[in-house]
Amino acid sequence: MRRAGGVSTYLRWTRALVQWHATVFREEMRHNPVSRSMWPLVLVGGAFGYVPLVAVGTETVIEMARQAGLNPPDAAAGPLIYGLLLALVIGSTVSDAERWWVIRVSPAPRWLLGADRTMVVYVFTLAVAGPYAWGALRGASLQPAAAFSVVAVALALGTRMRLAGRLGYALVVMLAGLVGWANAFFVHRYLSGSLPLDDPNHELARDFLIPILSHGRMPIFLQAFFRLPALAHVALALLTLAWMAQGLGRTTQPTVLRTPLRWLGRWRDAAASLAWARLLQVADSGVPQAVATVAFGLALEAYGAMRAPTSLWLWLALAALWRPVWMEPLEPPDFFQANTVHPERSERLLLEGRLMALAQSSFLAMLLVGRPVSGFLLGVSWLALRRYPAVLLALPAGWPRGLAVAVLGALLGWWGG
Amino acid sequence: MTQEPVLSVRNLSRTYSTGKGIVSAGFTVGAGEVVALVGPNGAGKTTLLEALCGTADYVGSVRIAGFDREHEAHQRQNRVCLPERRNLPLFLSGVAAARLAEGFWDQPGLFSRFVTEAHFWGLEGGDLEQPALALSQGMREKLMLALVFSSTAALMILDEPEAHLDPIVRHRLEQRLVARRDQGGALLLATHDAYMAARLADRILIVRAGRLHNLGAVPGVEAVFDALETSTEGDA
Repeated sequence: MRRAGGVSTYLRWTRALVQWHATVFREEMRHNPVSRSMWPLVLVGGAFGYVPLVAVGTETVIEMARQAGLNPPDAAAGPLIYGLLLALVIGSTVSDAERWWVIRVSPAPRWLLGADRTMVVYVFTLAVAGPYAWGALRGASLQPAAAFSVVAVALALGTRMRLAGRLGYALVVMLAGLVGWANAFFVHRYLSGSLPLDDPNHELARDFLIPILSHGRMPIFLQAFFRLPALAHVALALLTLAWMAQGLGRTTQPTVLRTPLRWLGRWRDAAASLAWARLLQVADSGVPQAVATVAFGLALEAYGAMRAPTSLWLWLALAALWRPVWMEPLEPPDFFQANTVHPERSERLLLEGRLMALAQSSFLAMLLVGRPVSGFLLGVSWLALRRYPAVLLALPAGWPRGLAVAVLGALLGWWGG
Repeated sequence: MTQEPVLSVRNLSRTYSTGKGIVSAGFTVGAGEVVALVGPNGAGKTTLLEALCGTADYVGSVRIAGFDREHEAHQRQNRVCLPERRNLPLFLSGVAAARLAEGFWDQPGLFSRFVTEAHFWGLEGGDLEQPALALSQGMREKLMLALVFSSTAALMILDEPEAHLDPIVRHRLEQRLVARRDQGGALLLATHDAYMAARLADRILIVRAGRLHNLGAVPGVEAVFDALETSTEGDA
């Protein structure tokens, strides 16, 4: 029988991991012509393109907000939240499941394998999400080194919270709102004849972004946190990464998902992912369209193009959601190979998923456009219905159920203001 | 004096949020013994093996070579696995894979054993220098079997080792399994090949709906099919 090694073997395992990374990189460069060309592009493009451009651009936007009279920390909340959401999403897709089985079953210390995965993912996340946080904090005259700690915290929480489907869904919904808002801005500008082709002073960007950033709020305690010395943030980042490494070294982790569709389909909360997958299947995807509709209407109000009650846009959004979501038969999409042994259970599962989708999109859309009360009411109501779906399940599928949802949503939106 | 089994499983459970999984599994595998897990798709074979291979969490007791879960590193050193999800990096060559496995499995001499094993499985020098992407699925399977059989661990756990193998290579697999058993190795394999299980296994465990049923020593393959049709109660 073989004996396990002692403390002195930790260096050996570290050498094994370093050799592993070096071997994989060498073999990829040797045998994969795509990697040979992509790696330099990614490294150079990232280091000299994406990272500095995003950081400087974000900082410039905050400076614009300052010149427009906004409180810089409040204006920084938006890009900071976006960067943290990116880090959360990346973290929630990380797991050990896709690692080569030879490593997974090896006697290497679990925390060392976790630390190895942590450092790789952290560097990647810092490059992708860090520039938003860095630029936002620097533009708001806060400690930019806090980007190291907040990205680490968001990334670590993402790996521990297993919210891959929900967070990705939330991100898509927010982006849909942004698209709707942007559409309204450019439509309004085009119709009023003030859409310049040349904008050296970035007036278009300022006019577009300032109303969005004006909704941001950064609590005082967070501002104080972001004013801590750089060393404190580095220490917090290291502690957080150690916690993340310990968690990643455990054997149970959410599955790493390669593409967004497989990502949504393979995570543990089948209800939300199945509902979202079904939405993606239809030509007019209900939830993003609904959110975009709401954002479009509210943006037109914000830019002075037209006045319409919020509930009207909400009703239109629900109608957009109603048709593809509630009218389509409740069937799980084939390519997700859903567990549909019991059809009545799958119907309940999908209904719960759609209500969760509705809760997330309603809450986020209303939050995005500065209607927190409406968002809270809507989110809580849909979550309550999800908890007790028998109310909706008692109604016949199709028109009656969809009508009930639409009427309830309109009433809540009107009540919330 | 009765020798402690190489693998001892008691009340092992691992379930998913859907309620499926493996419940209260208990069995042993001794030195020089082949135990086969046979069951329909979705019965819980892979769920059980993932827990035993240490790639998934579980509730219960698993002892490997006298080490319990608190000595996980010792368990891993005395066990070699071929799980269902191999995830072989496609741009890794066989030679590179073997060198890495030698380090990660803490088995000096594995590489030289691998070269001999690869020849047995029909992999020549050129095959071992090419990236896995350039090999057919069957050749990749042979590569992974060569890696696994290069290990000298006391316990070998294989999940569907016969997958993607042609009849000749399947015959070699059976030869290797028998040789391993005769050398005192303990083997646990999940297989869909009831005929191979009936030929090789000293005991067969039927897995149905997350529960294990001990078929014991198998008189013939018909008994395996009969057991798959109707479960048999009993302690493993």
